[in-house]
Amino acid sequence: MFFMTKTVFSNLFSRYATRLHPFVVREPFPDARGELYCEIEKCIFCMTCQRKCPSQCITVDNKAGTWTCDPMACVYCGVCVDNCPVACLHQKQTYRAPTPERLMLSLTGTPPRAARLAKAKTPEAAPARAGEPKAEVPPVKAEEPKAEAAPEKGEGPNEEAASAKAEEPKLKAAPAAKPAAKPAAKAQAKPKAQAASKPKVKAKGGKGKA
Amino acid sequence: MARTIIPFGPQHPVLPEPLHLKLVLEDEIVQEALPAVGYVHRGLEKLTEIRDFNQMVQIVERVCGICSMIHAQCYCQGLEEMLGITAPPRARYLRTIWSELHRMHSHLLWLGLFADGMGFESQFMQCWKIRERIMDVNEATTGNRVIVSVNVVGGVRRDLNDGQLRWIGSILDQVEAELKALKKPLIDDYTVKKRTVGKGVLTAEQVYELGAAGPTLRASGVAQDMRMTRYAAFDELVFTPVVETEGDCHARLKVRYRELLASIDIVRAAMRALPEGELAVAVKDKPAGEIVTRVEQPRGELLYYLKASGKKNLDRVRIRTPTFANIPPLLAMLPGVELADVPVVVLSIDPCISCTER
Repeated sequence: MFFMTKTVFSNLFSRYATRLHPFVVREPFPDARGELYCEIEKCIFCMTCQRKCPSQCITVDNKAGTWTCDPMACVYCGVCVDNCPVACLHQKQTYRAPTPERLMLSLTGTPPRAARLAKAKTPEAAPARAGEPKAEVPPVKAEEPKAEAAPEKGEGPNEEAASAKAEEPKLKAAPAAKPAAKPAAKAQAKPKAQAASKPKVKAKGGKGKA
Repeated sequence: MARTIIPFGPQHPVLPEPLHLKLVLEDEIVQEALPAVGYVHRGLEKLTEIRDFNQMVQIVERVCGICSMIHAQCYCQGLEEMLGITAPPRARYLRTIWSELHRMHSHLLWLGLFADGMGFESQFMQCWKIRERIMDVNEATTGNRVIVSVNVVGGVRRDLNDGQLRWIGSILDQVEAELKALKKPLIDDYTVKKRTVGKGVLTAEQVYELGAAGPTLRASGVAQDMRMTRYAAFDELVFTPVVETEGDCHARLKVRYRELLASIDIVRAAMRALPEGELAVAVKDKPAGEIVTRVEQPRGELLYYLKASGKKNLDRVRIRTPTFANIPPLLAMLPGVELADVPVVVLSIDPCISCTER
């Protein structure tokens, strides 16, 4: 092993080949496939991701409007991301941090069918669906669902209500999401989606603990 | 001394994977080796009954953690032939590039493990340090380090842009320089030769009769490589198989080392000749018929038998992996070997047990 001595000495006096991992973290590659997340407000609950997933980690309920992913079963293949017709599925560049408990990623949105039914129920919305005075109706509609949604606290409100809901946590979570945003190409698109999905997941986890 | 039976594996410090051999010893000399296969059987072939033929691409990738890309390539190639479609030229070249990168990281992994099997730990670290560069290329270009998931039936999912190609080229230059520096301490070293030369010798007739595959076969002087069947982009690239004639552990080491350098040349040639065009063709029909398709894995010939009858699930997927073919030659190598040399001889076939037992 005489020939190795040269290599050993050059390794001894050069800088480390490895990183001091938890303290020094390499910038992720821009195309790396990491943790899966869903922009639920864009989701149309078509169930394509559930059908295509090779590990069957995604469950979509198009009646209740829930999108559930078991992150521990996900194999990071990105097939669902490629096949999503509205491009609401994305992958972060980093893998999911290990956790001691099994957390399900469960998001609730408004399936288009429920939104249509809700519109049909409200008498003011009916002429809007028929079509002509579109410009006049929206302000009335925007006020109504809020009043409805507040006492019910249930699911399946109008699309406007859903978007209003989604906007609230966005504003709240914006400072929290900022440090997580990386100076990558996606930086503009990413924090919004994170902000939208994060507070809901946290709320779910809190319920489970209680 | 009377005959003793010593279990070698499934848990053994030298083994990267749970191979199980019962060694019949007389004194310190192995008289006979009896294999026991099935310790990590996972039943992946059976999954074809509940997963459709597109989802199976991701499942066959998980047959082997080291050559995932090549498994998927073989499967997709077979289905494309069955469906009567051809992958676009760019997809075939990209498959070649990624599969050769996989061969390189697999061989570097093996070089490290082999050095570790001889107790040469600093060389083990050195090989894995070089391998890390190729793993970075894999992650940057495909998205994942090991299970790259770039194949689909009909083509590939990812593309390489000019910047990436230049970057891969510079990494390859680095790897080549480091590999050439590795030759003296690994191949020509006195101690390494002492541990490997004349150990586990098989002649060309023996390996041919026992049905060996890959570097085990080529180290005994049989020039047989599935890349000679001109799949993927090999119909347009120049390819000559690497052959050594001694048939011992040292020859198998040399074959793998030279294949690494050959793979660098293949990747470079493929990157130079990379044609423009689309990445995948659409698949409209369901597959029907049966087909046998073969590619060259780092460990040898990989064979897929696929049978379908126009449904979304295939009827049968049968995978025959190179380590399975290399077990009979291993059993022929072991008699007459000292117990202390068994790890070196076993590692010289590059056993991949999770491939073998699927």
